[in-house]
Amino acid sequence: MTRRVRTRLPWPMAAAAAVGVSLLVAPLIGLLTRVPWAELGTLLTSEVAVDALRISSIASAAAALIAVVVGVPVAWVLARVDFPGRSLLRGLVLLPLVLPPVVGGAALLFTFGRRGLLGEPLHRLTGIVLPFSTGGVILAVTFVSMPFLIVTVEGALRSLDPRYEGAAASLGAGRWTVLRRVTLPMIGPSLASGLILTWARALGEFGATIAFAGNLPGRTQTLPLAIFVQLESDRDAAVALSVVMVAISLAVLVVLRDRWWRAP
Amino acid sequence: MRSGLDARCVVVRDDFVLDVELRIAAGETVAVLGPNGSGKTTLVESLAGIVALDRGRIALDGRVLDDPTAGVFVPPEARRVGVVFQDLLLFDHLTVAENVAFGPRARRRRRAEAARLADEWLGRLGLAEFAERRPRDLSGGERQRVALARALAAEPDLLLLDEPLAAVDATTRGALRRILADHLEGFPGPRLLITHDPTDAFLLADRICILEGGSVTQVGAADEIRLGPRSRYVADLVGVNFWLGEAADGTVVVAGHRLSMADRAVRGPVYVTVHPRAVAVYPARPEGSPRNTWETVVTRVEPHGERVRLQTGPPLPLTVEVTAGAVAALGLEPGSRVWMSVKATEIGVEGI
Repeated sequence: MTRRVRTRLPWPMAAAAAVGVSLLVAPLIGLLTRVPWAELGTLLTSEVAVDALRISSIASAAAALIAVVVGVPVAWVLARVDFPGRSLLRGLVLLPLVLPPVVGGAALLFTFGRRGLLGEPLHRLTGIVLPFSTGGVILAVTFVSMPFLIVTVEGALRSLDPRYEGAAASLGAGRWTVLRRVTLPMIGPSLASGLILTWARALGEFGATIAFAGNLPGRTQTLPLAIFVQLESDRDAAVALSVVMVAISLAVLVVLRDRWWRAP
Repeated sequence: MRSGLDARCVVVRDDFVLDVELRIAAGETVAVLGPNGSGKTTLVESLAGIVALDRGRIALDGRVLDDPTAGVFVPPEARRVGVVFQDLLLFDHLTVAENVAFGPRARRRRRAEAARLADEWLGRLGLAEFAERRPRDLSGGERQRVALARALAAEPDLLLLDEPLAAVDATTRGALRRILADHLEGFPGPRLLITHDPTDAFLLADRICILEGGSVTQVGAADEIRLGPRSRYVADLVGVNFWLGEAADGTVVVAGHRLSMADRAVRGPVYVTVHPRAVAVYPARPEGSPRNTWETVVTRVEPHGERVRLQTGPPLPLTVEVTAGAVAALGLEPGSRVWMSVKATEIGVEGI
């Protein structure tokens, strides 16, 4: 066995690191100390909690599904098709990654609201009103979360050697078969992590949802919105819902551990 | 109809033009032998349909695959051109059996039939035990066989082998070359072998095309290439001294040096070859001296078993092969002064 000389940490660095760690970890401990473990079951089965869990589950799953169906093709176009304005398009579709979500919500309202650019004809032709509906929640969380899938899948497609697809074609596989049996399986791990990231981001979405879909219990109130409201009225319920979200987030990190969390 | 491959491939790049005419009969193996950057890979890609021709025409068994003038371009998946790629490009997300069944499946064979075909090919190439493994878990030689099985199982009309032995270590290369030779023999269509290794070309091909700088500089059977190289590249490959020269009245001038030759009729620009074993080396000016005699210095001494290769210096640098005994007797080492002698009849001259 080789003996390594242990890295000696300069003390200002160690002190700063300790501050950083407590900044990130202390709130979690603070939250856990307030958990009313005995009443957890009752709190999580209250009508508000069950509704919020249901709406969040539906909206985040729908966002993940939509991201796969339309986000993967966007990633494919950005990675594989060379056209003028590609960088601009990439910037536009990835903007929600850095845009304050509440701004995204406002933008959605002006576009899909009843008097909005697309919302007005949509309402006139079909009677559908998106704001303040569960559909609106899905639209808001998809807007904020889909770029995570696009950015992950585009990166994977770029790093995939296109000659594998050429090899598949030379064996007689048409484009669809190549996509289904070679391209998608080869980027599978990235697709999966992009999907999990998208889903997790959709689950935690707050700003765009409240701005566009409002905060109607049973219709548009997601877990984060319910937590925010309960902080004012019923702290124990807010803590109980928060614990659920912490648990989900930890589970996501465990699933993605192999990609991010592995020591070099 | 099995009329084989009939192609003229012209591909224009910014700084490079590939222009090759290639005819390969059904059941014939042609090797394209050339240095790096000669256009070998571009040739493969144009035949496989990965790169479109700028000019020319590719026809396989009478079926036109690419003809820019006529606006015909058959995409790779409809060409029935099987390729063993230089770096194999095996699918690591599939098992070995699934890799081999990929072609039959893509050509709409039923799953069970594709699996049966894959099993057959795996058996033929001695890979049955690896069927359920991933390609990445196999050795280089095994992976190479998987790539060959995958290409053959798709039942192509033309088989392209791009540097099929380049990725294999020296110890398995010989065995793999024999396997390749067997399966090339069993493939009924035209076969094209791309290589930079003359051994592969000489042992596997019926005919050899030398490709340099995008053009074919020489075509012939192995012996014709070996005995009559027409470029510095081929001469270096087969170990023959080679120059371009100017012949007139029984002498030929190469690199400013005048040599006598036996053929008095040939005139003008010529290829000149001197076999390394046709050169005699003396410690002093030879008696009754033949006409092609000059003094020089030994610059390199490379033993190859019983034979030793010498490189000599100006006025006419040569590669010379002598016995190890002669090297010892003459005490040859780099820097030794020697006299060289080549009989006029040993100067190979061929008009360009």
